[in-house]
Amino acid sequence: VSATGTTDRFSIELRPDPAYLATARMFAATVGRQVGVEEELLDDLKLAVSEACARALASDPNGRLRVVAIPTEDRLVFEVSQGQPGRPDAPPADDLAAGLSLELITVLFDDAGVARDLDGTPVVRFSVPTS
Amino acid sequence: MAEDLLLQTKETGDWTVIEVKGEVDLYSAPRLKELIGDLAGGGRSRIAVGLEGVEFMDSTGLGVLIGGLKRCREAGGTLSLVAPTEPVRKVLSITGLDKVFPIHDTMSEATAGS
Repeated sequence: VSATGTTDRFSIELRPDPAYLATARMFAATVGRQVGVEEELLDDLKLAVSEACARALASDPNGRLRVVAIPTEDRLVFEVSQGQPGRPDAPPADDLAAGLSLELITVLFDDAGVARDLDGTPVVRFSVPTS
Repeated sequence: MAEDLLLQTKETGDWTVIEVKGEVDLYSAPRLKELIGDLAGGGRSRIAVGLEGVEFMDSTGLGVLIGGLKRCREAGGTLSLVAPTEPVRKVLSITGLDKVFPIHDTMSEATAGS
């Protein structure tokens, strides 16, 4: 487990193991509180990050489990890596739970979707307002 | 590392009560799945799951409860949820599963049919 925080972003990298999902949730809630996410949104935030990590493990069980939180002027943007750079973002088609994970995140946060970060790693990205 | 998931069972007439405490996620949910499977497979197919102590539940946890409900119904019983906390109520609501499970406020209400 390694965690870093600079003035412009916070990140945590975890072993690709479901045992570390609780750590990812704790990271999300801690950063959220620190940058002013309303308390009533923290449960949604923890659920979204946890589901995104679970989806990452379904997509690539040996890939890295990395959560990045980027504060902007009025939001906190989360990016949860889904496997490795250059790989397609594709949990197994028969993995219904992984499919449900993304749907849940989309219900919780309107702007949620799958994108690529700067090094080409697929990420689940969504943002939460800060006060 | 992950929080512990505590599972306590007791029998109340025809019902088996499972009190769940902690976080139910991809890591911990298999333990709940195994317990429900053992109970339903062993003839205890009327199960009330107490959720008052559950601070977090993800889609894997929901999947375990749905699978448990199916298994109990196939065996002639049912699976009820009791006193879900606000985060659990929310995830049940946004997935529409609050209309699928019998949900009760108290354990005595859930097991009244024994």
